[in-house]
Amino acid sequence: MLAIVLKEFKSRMRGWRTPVILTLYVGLLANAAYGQAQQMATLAAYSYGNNNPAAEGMQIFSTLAGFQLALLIFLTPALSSGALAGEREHQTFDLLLCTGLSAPAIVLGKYLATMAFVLLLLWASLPVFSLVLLFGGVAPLSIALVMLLCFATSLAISAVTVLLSAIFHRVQIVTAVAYGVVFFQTVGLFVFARFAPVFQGGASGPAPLAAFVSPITALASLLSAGNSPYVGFPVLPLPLYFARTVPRLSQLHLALWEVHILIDVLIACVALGLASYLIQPTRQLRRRRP
Amino acid sequence: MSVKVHQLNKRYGSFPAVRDVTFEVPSGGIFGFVGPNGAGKTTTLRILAGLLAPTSGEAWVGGESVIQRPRAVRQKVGYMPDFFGVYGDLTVVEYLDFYAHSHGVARSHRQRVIDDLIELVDLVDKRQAFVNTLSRGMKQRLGLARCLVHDPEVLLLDEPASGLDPRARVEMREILRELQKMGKTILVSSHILPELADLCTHLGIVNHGQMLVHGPVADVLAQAEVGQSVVIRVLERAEAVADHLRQRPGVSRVEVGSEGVVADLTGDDGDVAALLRSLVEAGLPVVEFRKRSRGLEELFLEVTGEQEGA
Repeated sequence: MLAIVLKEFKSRMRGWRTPVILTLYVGLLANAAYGQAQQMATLAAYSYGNNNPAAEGMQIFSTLAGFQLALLIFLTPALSSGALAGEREHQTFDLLLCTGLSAPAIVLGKYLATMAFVLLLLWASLPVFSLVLLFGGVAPLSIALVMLLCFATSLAISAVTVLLSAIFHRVQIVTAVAYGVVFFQTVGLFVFARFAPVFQGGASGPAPLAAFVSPITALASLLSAGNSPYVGFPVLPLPLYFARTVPRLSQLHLALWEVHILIDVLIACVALGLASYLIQPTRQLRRRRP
Repeated sequence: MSVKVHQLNKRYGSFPAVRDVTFEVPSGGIFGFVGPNGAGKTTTLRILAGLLAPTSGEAWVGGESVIQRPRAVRQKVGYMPDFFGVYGDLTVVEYLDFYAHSHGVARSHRQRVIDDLIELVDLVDKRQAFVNTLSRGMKQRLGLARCLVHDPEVLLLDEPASGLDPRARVEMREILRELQKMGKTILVSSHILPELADLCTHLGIVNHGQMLVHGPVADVLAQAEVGQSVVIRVLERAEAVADHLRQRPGVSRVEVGSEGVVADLTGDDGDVAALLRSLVEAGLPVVEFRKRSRGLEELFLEVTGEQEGA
């Protein structure tokens, strides 16, 4: 497994794509933060001295968190789609299967290499995030939790994409289907959760399962935990119910975003297990002859 | 036996790719797997490499069942497919190091293995070259080195010389001879018979998924010689010789060509001698009388042709 991770690192770091992706990623985040700060400054000019730097910091932080999550949701399928389908397309998959590596080791190796790259992206974004600490109002722990949520979301998306990569043999097909699945998981489930009839009467009903799976609701829940009734999403104000804790979930008193992380881990485990099963070349035979 | 295949079958839906294939290869042998494109060679090799499950039948490599213990088989096998890709962004050394690492070769041992293999396949000058800069022949040789990183007992080489220029083919043959000296058992497939004729110790001819002839090369050639063929050159009256031959019992075919009169006959060397005697006694002016040995190529055409006709 380590052999695959090391090889993937070498391959990934040698091309022109990695520096370009990193530069664009950090550049877009910095641009988003700058844009938000500019907007804050414009508003402050009309506030007649009633500035609240902590609130401004929180606004910039919320923008950055939302932007970071969106970028990762966009990038992760592209980073993972070639994991197995790319090997098939380049006719190296059989050679990989012929090595002493087991199917789970191959899948995990590919997966960990992608996740390591996601970690690199998160690491690279830290300097931009640390700027909000200058404003006050945002604790370092909040930044760490946003990073954790983003990473967990990538865990699930990447694992599902690896599974699709085990099912389909063409990278383009894997990428297209993965974006479809991700769109459904993020936007589709968010819209469903937002407009589910159970919520039409107010904030008293239990949140539907869709709310736990969509990373948008999870981020909204995280950003608003213990804060104002409205999530500090400057571009998309969300009502309070995504900020609620979920007190009846097995008496664990977990917040929605915490449950989301657990679901992400569960999705990742199931998807990787299935992918490992699917790439075993002689699996039909073992099923027939125990 | 290093490789043993027993009544192997593989179907893709209703299409039988391999039908009741049975053969054995002793340790240290080179088995030439010959057949036209689509004959079932690649499917058989993929089954032996543990990459494909047979529909029925059994196969063992180095004593391990490819069905029960495919991972153990993969450790004993070095497989080179007919078409394979490379990681072009790795250097030759890194490429081999990756596969050696994947096969569990100890780090302390790896560098020496890689150096030896690079020398064996004559890529010493290209050690630090990126794989995508190598020529087709070099990539094939690198592929062969890759097969050997874990010191496998058996090599499965699917059309290793395809797409190579004549010089690269000769080099590939020399490497295979070297590997045989090292004690490797080699299964090498090709649709070009002369490539294998002087290299193999054993031969199997396959067509439409069926093994038509197999065994040690000498035995297979002997099967080709069961029906004998003679070439007779005469000073004159070639047609009279042909007529005489046609009246002889056991002569199955007579042709008059530029080479002389060619006759196929059944029987042993005694029958050949009797035929010559009858020609001389008939007063025909024979200036040359020789047995024509039928080569592997003719045998191949004959057995595959018989199957087509059947």
